[in-house]
Amino acid sequence: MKISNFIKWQIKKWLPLLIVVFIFMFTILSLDGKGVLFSSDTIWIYSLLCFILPIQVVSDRFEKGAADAYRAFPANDKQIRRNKILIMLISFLIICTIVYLLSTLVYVTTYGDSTAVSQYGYRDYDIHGMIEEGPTSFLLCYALMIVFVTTTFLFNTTLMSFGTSVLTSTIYCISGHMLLMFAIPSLVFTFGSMKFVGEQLSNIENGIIGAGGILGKSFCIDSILNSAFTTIRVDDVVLSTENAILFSIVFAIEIGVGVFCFFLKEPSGEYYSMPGAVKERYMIILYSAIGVMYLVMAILEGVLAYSSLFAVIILMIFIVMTIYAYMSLVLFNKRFKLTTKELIIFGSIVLVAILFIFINYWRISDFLNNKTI
Amino acid sequence: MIEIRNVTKKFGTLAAIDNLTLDIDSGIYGLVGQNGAGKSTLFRAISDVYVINEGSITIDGYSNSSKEGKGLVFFLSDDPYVEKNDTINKMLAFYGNFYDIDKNKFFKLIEKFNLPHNGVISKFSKGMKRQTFISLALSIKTKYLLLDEAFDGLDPVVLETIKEELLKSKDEGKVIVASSHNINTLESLVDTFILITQGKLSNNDSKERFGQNYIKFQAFFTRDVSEDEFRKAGLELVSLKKFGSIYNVVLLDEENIEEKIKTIAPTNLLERVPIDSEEIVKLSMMVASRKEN
Repeated sequence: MKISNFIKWQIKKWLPLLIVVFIFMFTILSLDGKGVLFSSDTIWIYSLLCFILPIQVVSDRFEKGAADAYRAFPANDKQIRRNKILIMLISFLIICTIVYLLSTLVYVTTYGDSTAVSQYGYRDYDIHGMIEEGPTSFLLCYALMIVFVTTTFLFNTTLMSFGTSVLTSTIYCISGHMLLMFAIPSLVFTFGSMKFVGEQLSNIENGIIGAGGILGKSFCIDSILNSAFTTIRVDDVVLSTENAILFSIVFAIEIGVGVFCFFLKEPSGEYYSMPGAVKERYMIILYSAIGVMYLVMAILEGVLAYSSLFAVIILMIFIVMTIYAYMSLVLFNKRFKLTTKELIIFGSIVLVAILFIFINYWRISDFLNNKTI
Repeated sequence: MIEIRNVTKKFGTLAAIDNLTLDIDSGIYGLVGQNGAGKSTLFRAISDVYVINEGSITIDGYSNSSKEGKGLVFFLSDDPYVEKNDTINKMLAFYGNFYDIDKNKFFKLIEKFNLPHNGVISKFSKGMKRQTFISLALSIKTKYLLLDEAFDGLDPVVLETIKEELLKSKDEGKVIVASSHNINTLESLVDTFILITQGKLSNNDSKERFGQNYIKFQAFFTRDVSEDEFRKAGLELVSLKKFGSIYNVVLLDEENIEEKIKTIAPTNLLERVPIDSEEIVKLSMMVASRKEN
């Protein structure tokens, strides 16, 4: 494989897309007039692009005929993909950097005077705030953006590369994010003490939601976790034996799936463009994600049941997840009817989830009642 | 040499290639077989497009899944891959990322076929696409060339040019395996025929020896004869057809075959007639299918 030729060829091919990405980012980040470059308000832009661009990277899997070329080339699949990933990632980071600098310039020239502060206000990562605070804040924000884009892009690309169609790649990606969103809480619940981690929880949350991106935001996971952790901080009620065991299982599942994914072989050429390809891989990742999401949400539902707003939101998440899982199976199996095996797995997960909702609800109610007395 | 040893490739429970062993050494090979016999699957297994379930494939000692092994083979599928909206030049750049290509030879062939350099390949006719990709395949500097249904959709003039180029490549040391349903084209080109039936190797003989075990007679019997009578006479009947009063009989060769035929019924005419490759392939497929069933 002639690397330098390949890089030139690939950049040339992706250039129109990269130009559109640049215009899209620059328009949104510069013309919004607030100078917010990388914060909870704009993270969706990065998350969205970190989802769309990896599809381009793995798109050769989505065409049947591509297998005849890509798999037969005298370079293995992984080597070609690794090069494509790096080319796209570096191109995207360059775009992010240029947009970051240009947007800052636009903001400074437009709203550079101090009266603009009172007129428009500024936030944590507002450029105007940064100008006053000095370059450290500006660089820190930039570094955070680079870390976020790099990790999210690589995570998404890895997950999508398991798929052999847009559909399965998307489901792998969503399922992977479901697992990732609870990776850190699982670790904390399994090994940590709430008192020890107390002050760090909000930072950890930011990390989780950052990685979860759009998914975390749209499911209001950030608000739910915030609230749950606040409640947990009242006492160690959630760190009960049952929950510790459950989170250990969740953590073990996450590690297991991670190891499983690491040793996955590249799919054979006959699976290219097939939505229902490599069933074992698909089912393991889908069931793990759904199982973890159900179990963690069950604990949060129990803990936050006293708050009708969160209780309703979590119930809605349950419904959305159930529809997602069901549709993922329907699209994969190409039939609406589930098999007995699938029904047993689903039923078991739901039963355990219901059990944990009640355990946690009983514990938190008991705790709050005793406190009142 | 491409050494294929006990290779099995399954799709679900169906074995598209079933315990196949074969050596591909030098010259031009014609891979023949019915639709679904496993020809394309064999090509894809050799070039590692499909991961095989059992067995091994080595190319000049290297595993077919290794970079070195793959570097020795170029596989041209029946529907070759090209990026959307790619022109001939762009397609050349794409494949050039992975293979050494003799660009002079490529453009000479393109000009010979009057193909437009800046035309979008996906909008070409089937024949033009074939010409484009065969030009590419002939210009790629790999030792082995696997051509799947390469001659379909080509007019006789183009076909003649391609045959000439393939023979030139053979003289330069290239080993070519071509599958086609156009047996007559293959006959004028190949040194060896490989016949595959239901994923198994049925025949692997040089062109001269291919089908030598079949004997075809034209016979005029004084009365009507049936297939059973041939079998009762101890003959291995492959095919029996009647045209007017004349029978065309194909039998597996054996000693005293003419005498044995005469024991069935008196004949006024019994003469051997030649069999062309196309008929041999058809007969071989029939025999192999009967054995399988």
